[in-house]
Amino acid sequence: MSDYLLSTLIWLPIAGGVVLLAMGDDNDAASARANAMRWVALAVSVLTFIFSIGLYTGFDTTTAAMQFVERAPWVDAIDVWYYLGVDGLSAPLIILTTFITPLVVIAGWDVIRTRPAQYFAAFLILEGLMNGVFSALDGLLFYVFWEAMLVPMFLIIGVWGGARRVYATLKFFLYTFLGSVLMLVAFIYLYRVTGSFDLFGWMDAPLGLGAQKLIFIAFLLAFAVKVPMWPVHTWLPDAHVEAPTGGSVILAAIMLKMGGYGFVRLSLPIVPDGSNYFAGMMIALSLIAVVYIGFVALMQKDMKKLIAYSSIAHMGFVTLGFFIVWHMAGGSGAVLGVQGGMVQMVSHGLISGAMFLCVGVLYDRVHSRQIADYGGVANTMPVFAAFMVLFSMANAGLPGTSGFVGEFMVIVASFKANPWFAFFAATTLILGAAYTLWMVKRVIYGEVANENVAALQDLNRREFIVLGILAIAVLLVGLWPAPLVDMMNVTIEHLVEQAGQTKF
Amino acid sequence: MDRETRSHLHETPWVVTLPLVMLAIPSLLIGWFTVEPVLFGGFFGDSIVVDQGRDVLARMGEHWHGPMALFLHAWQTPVFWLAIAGLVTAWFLYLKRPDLPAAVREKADGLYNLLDRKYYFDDLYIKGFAAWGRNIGTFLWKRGDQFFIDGVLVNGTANSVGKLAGVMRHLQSGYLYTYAFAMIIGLTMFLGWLIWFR
Amino acid sequence: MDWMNFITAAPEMTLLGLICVVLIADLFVDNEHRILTYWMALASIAVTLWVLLATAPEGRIEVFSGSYVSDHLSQALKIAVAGFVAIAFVYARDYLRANDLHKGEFYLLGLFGLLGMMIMISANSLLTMYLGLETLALSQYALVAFDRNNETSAESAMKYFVLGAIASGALLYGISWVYGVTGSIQFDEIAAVLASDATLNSLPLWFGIAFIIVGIAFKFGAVPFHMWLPDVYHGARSPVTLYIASAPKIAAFALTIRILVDALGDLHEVWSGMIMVIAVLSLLLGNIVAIAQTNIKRMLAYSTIAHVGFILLAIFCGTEEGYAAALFYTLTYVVAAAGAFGMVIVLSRRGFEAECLADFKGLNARSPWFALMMMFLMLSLAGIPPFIGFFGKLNAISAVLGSGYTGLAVLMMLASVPGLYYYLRVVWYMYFEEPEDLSVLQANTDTRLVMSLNGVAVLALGIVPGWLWTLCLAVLSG
Repeated sequence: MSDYLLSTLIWLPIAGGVVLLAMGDDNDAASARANAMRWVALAVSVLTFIFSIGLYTGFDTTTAAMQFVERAPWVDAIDVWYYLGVDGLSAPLIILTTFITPLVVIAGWDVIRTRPAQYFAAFLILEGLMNGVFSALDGLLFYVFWEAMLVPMFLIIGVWGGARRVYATLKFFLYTFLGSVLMLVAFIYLYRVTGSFDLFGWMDAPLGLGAQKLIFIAFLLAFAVKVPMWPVHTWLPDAHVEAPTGGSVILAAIMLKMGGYGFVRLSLPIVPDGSNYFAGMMIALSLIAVVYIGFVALMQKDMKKLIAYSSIAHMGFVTLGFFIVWHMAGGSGAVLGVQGGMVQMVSHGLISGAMFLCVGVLYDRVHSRQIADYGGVANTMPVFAAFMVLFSMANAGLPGTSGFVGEFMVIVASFKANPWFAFFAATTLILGAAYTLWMVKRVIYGEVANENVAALQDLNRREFIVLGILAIAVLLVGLWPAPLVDMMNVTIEHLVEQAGQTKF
Repeated sequence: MDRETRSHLHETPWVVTLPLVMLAIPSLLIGWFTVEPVLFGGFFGDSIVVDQGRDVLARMGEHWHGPMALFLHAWQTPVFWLAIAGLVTAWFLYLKRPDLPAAVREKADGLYNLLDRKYYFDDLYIKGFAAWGRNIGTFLWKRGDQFFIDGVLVNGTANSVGKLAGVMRHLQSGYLYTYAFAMIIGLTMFLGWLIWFR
Repeated sequence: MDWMNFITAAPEMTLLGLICVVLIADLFVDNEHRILTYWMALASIAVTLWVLLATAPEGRIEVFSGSYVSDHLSQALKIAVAGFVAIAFVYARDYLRANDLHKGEFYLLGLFGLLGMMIMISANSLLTMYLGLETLALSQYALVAFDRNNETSAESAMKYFVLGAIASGALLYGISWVYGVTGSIQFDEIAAVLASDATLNSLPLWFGIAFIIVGIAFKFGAVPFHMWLPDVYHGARSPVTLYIASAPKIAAFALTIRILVDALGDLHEVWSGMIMVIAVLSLLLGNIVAIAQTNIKRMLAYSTIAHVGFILLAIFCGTEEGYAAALFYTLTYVVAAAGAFGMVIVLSRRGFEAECLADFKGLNARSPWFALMMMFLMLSLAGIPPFIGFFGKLNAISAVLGSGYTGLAVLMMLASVPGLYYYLRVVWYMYFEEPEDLSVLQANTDTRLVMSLNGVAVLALGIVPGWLWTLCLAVLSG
């Protein structure tokens, strides 16, 4: 079984999605058939998660080599292989994906009224494709999964989204596609230089500095849009606001991580000199993201937009951690920086997913995301308020929650590089607390603001389960990050070594 | 105070009074017994490690003569009398002559406000930093993100392409002679290029 | 009597004979039983294919004094065009019946067009090529004008005819220059003459090439010889548009390869510049103007122009890989285009041509399966993996990069982005909008089946694309 674990993680959800589509849609969301579909979706996603635990238990934390490798020729004529494998960078992200998807299925349970089969099918297929991106070790296979993944998300936002969903989803697809097309050109160039699409071949291939710079820029465009980095970030607030809750959760929790993953899997090892050359720019952009976006988040009136901007700021930390590698005098700081970035990715996935789910809970009841329409929710929904405050604190980086671990590691590492980096990075602690806590204060605390709030019902069992599981996860990673960090350690050391070498 | 407020004042229940007593009396005495072991003894053991040249407490310990000496010395320090003066002033202003505080406030208005408003630090934070932060946030959001990045760069390019499409489609005039003419022009360009550049 | 001539050219001869049979038989069939003509037409194609496979010689043979060649390329392309013409017939049948257009002449003209295409594909001399081209073109003019009572069709046919005549005239004029300079009309002889005598590489020859390129560009629909495309695609009835958009593109590819590569391959520096310019213009104009269209047939016409830009850029490279990439792209494009126009046919019914984009609104609610098929086709045309259109683009860009034109490769990819927009617009209308027209789809089982196969094919081919690429490489090198 472990021989084909990765393939299972990719194709099982996709098969489940196809089965759901074949079962046909029923617009009567309460019918027995619709119910059966939901249980099928849940069963498939939970089964996938259970299989992914095998990635953790079977993982060898002492080696940086690829594990669970599968390799078979796919398109022999152009030397493309179906080549899968995970290491300390991808395994946690795959587990995060399979963990979040069942929660999203539960969250969308009876909220989705129109075409539920297509909704759940889209998420399952999306999950399979995302697992594919994280496991692919052949450049073209990576690209195929990378682009294909946009289609289900495009449909999710466009069909089940809010009022401006068409604008938001077209912006999302076209913007991301524009970024990725140049990555394809870079891939083909590397293919012609090395003769294959094998990522490891590319990592070993000697490349001149000029070529490396261009390839880095091509990769940068694709990944920067995905992360998203300032200034190519404006698609994210629109996409998050207009997407249905489940869509926002997957978008924030997983899809943003693809950008960060792309940097560590592709940019750093394949074009280390190019990355080194542009590291200063990347650090500057990351810090701008942290500070600029922090200020912008402060003034948002729509809760989802606020959390979206806060996501961008948190991802700024991720890219900061990855690119301070070359500014270190010693080696240990570099590893810490990348580790911090990776932990931040996992933690942010959990926290922002949870925050979007919280906003979704409120939206399901009052059908508004505006802060002004709420006030004193703690009076009528105390259990929910407790969860929301917990996740908000985690978002602000409270020690004990997962939000703190990644931020702390990155700030310490960036201090070793340059105290000014740490200074600007640490402003997130102030700004993050400012915008999150201000939102919490206006929404949760105070007097009951209007009759909508007065009529609120507290969490039902389904919502409680979802938020409860996420709360446990956030606290677990925050209090005991060791299993996560151990998984990544050796791989990151190897990565830092690769990033430090000169290839021309 | 009026009767209404007075009626709200009552002695605390024993659940509160008893712990207060249990805390108050030892708090008077505990310093006597703990000051030497904690500050100059080995109470903390190896938990706190102080660098050799920076051991401030050790220097202080050279002048330590026991709690009784500390107690007796206190009467000679100005700090002690300053604290007593505070006590006396408070008794005077609020028990002996309760009319005075209002007069002081009238005479030294500015000083009163300065102290009442905590050296205006709250105003600095709320109207200064926080408002400044909010203004920057609004500026960066409206002018930076919404107007420039989204409006000019993103939507601007998209709209430009759309407008260009709207203009270019008129090339397809619908008239046959236009189409034929385009072909002739194309051919002429070919021939011209061949003659002059090859 | 050299039997070799007849055996090698047996497919064309069989087809011609069968056309005559069908022609006569159709006279005796009345309107209710017109379906017989349909079956006879399909049978003719099947028999022709069988003859082709049965008589295919090993390697390359030239017959009829070098006018006609049979090699791997011709066999592969003939199978392709025959297949697509048959598919066009299947799509057309019920549409024609529902719209009182079910005349035998449709199938006959289609078969004549097929004959013309086969002759083009097997041509080894400039005049044979012209013969095939004209046979195809005249059939197409008549097909476009098929619906006599439709003014738009008549207008489109007129435009097509006049512009086609200009292009044919230019082509013939160019042929005469080339003949005048080289002294031969046979491709291999031309190549030999040019290889041996370098002084021939001069202005008169180049003029001839320029005129020939006008003809080629017209057939493909490249800027600035593209202006017939939108009007003709729009004005012709949907099955005719499907026919014109599919198989003749393959024939146009054969035209280009035979003349520019087989005959004039050595003069690559002369014709490549011209090809590149029209390719880039096509890419840009096609992708941009398609955005402004509200009629899906016109939108697909402009998108065709953009795709032609890609194909021509692959040919421009001048390498074998480039030509194979162009063939691969053409074949995969034709599969998707046939499906897209087929979808228009599926949505149409008596008196109502589903040619506006708005007609696709809410298709997901009316028929999720066909919405899914159309989405597959649109995404394939846009070049999104895992559909086959992506691999077409991949190979084309790979060929261009391999020849060192990085800037062109970047341009090709950037130009695909506006392309994605108008393809996504169709998906948007189908999935995100409410249906304005709630009527049930009236297409019958045959049409639905072919449409479904078409849609699934772009996904299936995308998952296993290797065999087709190997085939393209093989036929162009062998």
